[in-house]
Amino acid sequence: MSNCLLEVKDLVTAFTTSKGPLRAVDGVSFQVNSGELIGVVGESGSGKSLTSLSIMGLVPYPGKVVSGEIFFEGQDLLKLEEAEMVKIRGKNIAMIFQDSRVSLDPVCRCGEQIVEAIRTHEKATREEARERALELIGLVGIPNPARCVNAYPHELSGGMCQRIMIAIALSCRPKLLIADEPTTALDVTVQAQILELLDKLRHDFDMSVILITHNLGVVAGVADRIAVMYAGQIMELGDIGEILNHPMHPYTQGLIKSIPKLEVSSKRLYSISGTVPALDKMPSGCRFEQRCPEAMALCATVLPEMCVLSDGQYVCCHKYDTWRSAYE
Amino acid sequence: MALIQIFIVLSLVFLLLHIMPGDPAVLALGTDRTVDPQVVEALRHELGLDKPILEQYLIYIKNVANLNFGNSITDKVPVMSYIAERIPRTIELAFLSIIVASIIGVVLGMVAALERKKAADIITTSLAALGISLPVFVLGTLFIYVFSFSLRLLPAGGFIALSKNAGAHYARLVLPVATLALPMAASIARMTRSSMLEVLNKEFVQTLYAKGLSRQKVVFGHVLRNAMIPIVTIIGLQFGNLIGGTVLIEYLFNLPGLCSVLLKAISYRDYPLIQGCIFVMSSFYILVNMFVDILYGALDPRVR
Amino acid sequence: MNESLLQVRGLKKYFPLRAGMFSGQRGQVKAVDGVGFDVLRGETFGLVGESGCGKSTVSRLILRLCNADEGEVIFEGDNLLKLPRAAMRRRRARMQMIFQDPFESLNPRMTIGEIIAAPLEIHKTFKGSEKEKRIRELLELVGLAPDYIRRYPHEFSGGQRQRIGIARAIALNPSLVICDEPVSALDVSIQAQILNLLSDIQEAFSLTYILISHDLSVVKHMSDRIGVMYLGKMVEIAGKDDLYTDAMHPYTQALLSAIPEFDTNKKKQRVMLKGDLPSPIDPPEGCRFCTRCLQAMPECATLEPRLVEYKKGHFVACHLYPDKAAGVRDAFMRVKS
Repeated sequence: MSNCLLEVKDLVTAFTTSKGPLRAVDGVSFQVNSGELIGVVGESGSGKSLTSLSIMGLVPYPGKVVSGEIFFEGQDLLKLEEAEMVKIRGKNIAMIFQDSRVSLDPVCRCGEQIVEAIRTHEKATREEARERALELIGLVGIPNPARCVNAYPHELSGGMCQRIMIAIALSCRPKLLIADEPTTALDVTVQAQILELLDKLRHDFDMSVILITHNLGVVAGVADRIAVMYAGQIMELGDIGEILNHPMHPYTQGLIKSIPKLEVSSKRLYSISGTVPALDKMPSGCRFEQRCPEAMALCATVLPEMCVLSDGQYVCCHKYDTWRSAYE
Repeated sequence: MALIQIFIVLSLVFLLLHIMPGDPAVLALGTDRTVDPQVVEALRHELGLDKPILEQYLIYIKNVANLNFGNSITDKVPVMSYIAERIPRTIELAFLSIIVASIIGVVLGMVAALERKKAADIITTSLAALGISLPVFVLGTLFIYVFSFSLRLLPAGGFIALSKNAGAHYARLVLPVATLALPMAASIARMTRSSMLEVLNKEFVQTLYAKGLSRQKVVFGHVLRNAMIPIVTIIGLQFGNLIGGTVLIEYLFNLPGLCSVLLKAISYRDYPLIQGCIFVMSSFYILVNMFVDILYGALDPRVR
Repeated sequence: MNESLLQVRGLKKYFPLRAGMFSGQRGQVKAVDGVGFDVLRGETFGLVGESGCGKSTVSRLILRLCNADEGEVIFEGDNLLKLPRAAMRRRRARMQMIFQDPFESLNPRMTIGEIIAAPLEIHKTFKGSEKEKRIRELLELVGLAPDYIRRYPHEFSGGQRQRIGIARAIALNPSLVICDEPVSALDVSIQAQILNLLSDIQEAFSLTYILISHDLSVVKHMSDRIGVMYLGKMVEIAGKDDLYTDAMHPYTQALLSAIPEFDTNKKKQRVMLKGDLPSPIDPPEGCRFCTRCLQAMPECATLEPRLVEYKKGHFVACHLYPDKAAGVRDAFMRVKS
């Protein structure tokens, strides 16, 4: 793939604790091509949010990127000084967060927060920036931009706040937008609006989007590719249709089967037994081994490697070890 | 609202004074037992103390409404002019110490919050704990001993009017202000630290960093303002307390301020003077609180 | 099966809105505004709606955790809202609740044994060693090791805590369990475990559930009949298959189509709603949904539609269906007369 915008290679992010480093993101590699929307799906504790914060260089203390490379337009972000990273954050890579009502400064007018984003990265007068803020607010589908500019976040609904967040993120025409659970805190009908808006804007602005969510249904409608994460690692990566219709990894299979579906009515849901292992009790082998219905002796001791199934489809499971040799 | 509060305070003061044992007329005429009862009765009549208590109360309220507290019983000077002479000194002391305390407290608190769990934080928090637990008179005595007696840098106290000699005036204020300000700075620093830490953990701070703002801009442009409400509250409370709470300092540094007047007035049951002092102090307290409420609104749109 | 366990009639709850201590009432939040439905013995009745629609308030009114302004709640033959306090307390043993947040609904200072024992003690059903035996039994029933009895809530994961909440709820053999968003705080793989547990327990103890959720797929999976709420009003009640194949109210249609579609091959045309929920402080006159409705007609803005039985077991409150509803009613009247 030639037009690669972002490439994450063997990213390891760990929390320093008294028990030693806990690797919450452990060897994650994927790439994002320009203009595509990639979904990162995982349950809580899968390391999906921490992966995105690592890209932004905003890993909270006591977390730290331990090793790996993150190439953005050919430049390794992990090697940049904070002063240089500040120029990329918000300008080339923007991010929106889960609960927009608490993600905006409560004592600052919405318009002001957009103006600030513009003036941080560009030489614009206050008036020019205000003009553009107004334009952006209209662009993200807020019915009365002039009124909204002067509103405080608590005066707006959750959906409106999320639109303001998107306006802030878009203010400098970023090449990559990371959306961390952008619709989780919203009602279903509003969620649908925001997803459609994101999908429309990525075409209009010609940007790539990393959409992080725990809800497979959210990415199904909009993503081109998805990465399924579990306990800090990517289990399966590839085309969305392929994965949803023919999941290869036992975890993905279980996840899809355990979601109640509207069309099917069965009395019992499939459920994956057990829970995600705690970070300090990670098995040395495959991390899904304890919950996996198809676990083999090998799985308990040897960590499986990512293997290529076909063009662009990757899976991290010993079941497919023979496939790999065949493909190679 | 503020007027109702002042009214309640004044009524309570009136009631308490009249419950309190001790006859002002007797005390004014001297404590020796041989005073002629008729003289006492005459003075009581002159002061209006022989009227029924309800009538005294009504007269009192009427006078207060006109800001007329009458004359001091002991030295016959109008109460208001007495207070007018003394209050600028106390207010000057209070203002200077609260300003010094706020600056030191907020700066130290911010440093501690930003350098959490590092050397600067540990030093500041332990100093703050010390500052809060150290009694004012110990600190004051210590200052006088070190700076006046040992080092001979500053005068130990007294008062010289600003118009006479500005340098000497302020030199005499340095130690009292420092003594008052340091314990207040300690509690302001603690409040600033915890408030800042709370705001720094809020999710919007992450958004600000994600927008590409530098640490300085995040801290000074957003976090500080969000953290300000509890800080303003504690500064306001302490400022209000200062007006009535400088007794020890005025005594220690031999400053003729409002508190020493009140102290004297109480010991002589000088009703008009006590009432005047309390009126001024409580009005000041209530004014400060009103100002703090207005500040809340300015700082946080959600309060409006 | 067709006997009603719970009948709710004309339930209303307005919360007054005051500006300050001395200023008068500034308005009221019409949290629940005339809601009525029946819950049949042994069924699961799903209650869906977006935040602020009043679904959680309804559950609290039923349990009398807060007092209703108007209406009736008839449970096993008695109107709960008129019951004296002592009788109500005894009656509460028959109706239990499972809360959304397994992290906040358990007292962190009590052991698991104490938490589950609390209802048993209040209603004095079990004593001494029998009580402990009962608790161990309950723990086993919800899929936890009986030895957990002396542990504290913080030692458990979200899914396990929800199991504890379920054990506590069924400790007194209730007939009705209200599940308020029982799985929304849980991960997908855990969610399936809890939903299955709820079904198993329902079957084993022939429980009746009221399931409150914003997640339509969960409600669909679990419920027999579903009520859809919008801004304090019930807009549609129907059997689950009926509701999903033949949603009548435009709001229900929009809600259904807004569910993120799982199947990528079938990109369906979404009915996209404009705008946000209006504030329940001054809800629109007429039909509450008229400000966002794509099919709103002039009369919708002025005349409030009533919830009528459009076809058997399918109730809807919408002016789009007046004729037929009236027709059915007329026909019914004709047959009667």
